Amino acid sequence: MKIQNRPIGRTLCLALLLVVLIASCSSQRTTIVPMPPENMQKLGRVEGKAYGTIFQMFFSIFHNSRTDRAYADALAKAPGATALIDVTLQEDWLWYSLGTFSILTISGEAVR
Amino acid sequence: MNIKTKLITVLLSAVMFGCAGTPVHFSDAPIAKLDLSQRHKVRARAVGLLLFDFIPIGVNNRQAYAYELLKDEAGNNYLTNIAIQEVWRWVFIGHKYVTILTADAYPLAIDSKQILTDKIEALKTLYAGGEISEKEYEKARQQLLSNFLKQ
Repeated sequence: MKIQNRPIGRTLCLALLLVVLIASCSSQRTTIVPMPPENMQKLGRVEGKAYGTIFQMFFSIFHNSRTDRAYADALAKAPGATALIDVTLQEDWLWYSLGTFSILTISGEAVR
Repeated sequence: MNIKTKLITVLLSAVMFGCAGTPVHFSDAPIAKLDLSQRHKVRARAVGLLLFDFIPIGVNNRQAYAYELLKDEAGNNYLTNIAIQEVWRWVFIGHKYVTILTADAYPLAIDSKQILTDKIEALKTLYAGGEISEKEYEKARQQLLSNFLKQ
């Protein structure tokens, strides 16, 4: 089978190469230090974590949504919380031969 | 430690290798004291490379560096609504990571009452030192009060 007089294997290889060359991803923009609500009530310090990996160089598994999930995880630890103040963010990573695993930690004072 | 344990330790070290990133503490802005009518958008980005996926070059501190750049960009203004975006890209020799921080920067609200008080005090000092006459002092004081009430 040929596409435009080229063997399909060759076309597929070129397409794959192109995908590989431009392989990249972007996370959503996540607000981690919002403007605190008026007359805020402090609910205590909380910490949220989220994990993700880039497997085999190109495949992102839960990697791009880490910030959103870590922030949501932190808020979930203080029922009723709507935002965090006094925020600290840390990203740790681990290489495991088949890819890179990363852990994002967000901690802060939960408020509503 | 026998040779087998040593071998396992070496293998595990070779198979799993990791690093801790620099913790970034985002300072809170004194919202009540800010002039919220004067918002400036600021943006900063920092890049890191994970060479061969395990040699970090500017990777572990890129969020901290981006935050420093963001504060530089804001100057004397205070930052709030700080948002983070992470972008990664495969670059043959590893992965490139980019951290983009955006925020709203606000200046401190000007306390016009305090400024008026300071100016009147300065006028009093000039008058007490004999540098201006009573007439000049009174005229300048009236001018300051009139400007303040017009605001």
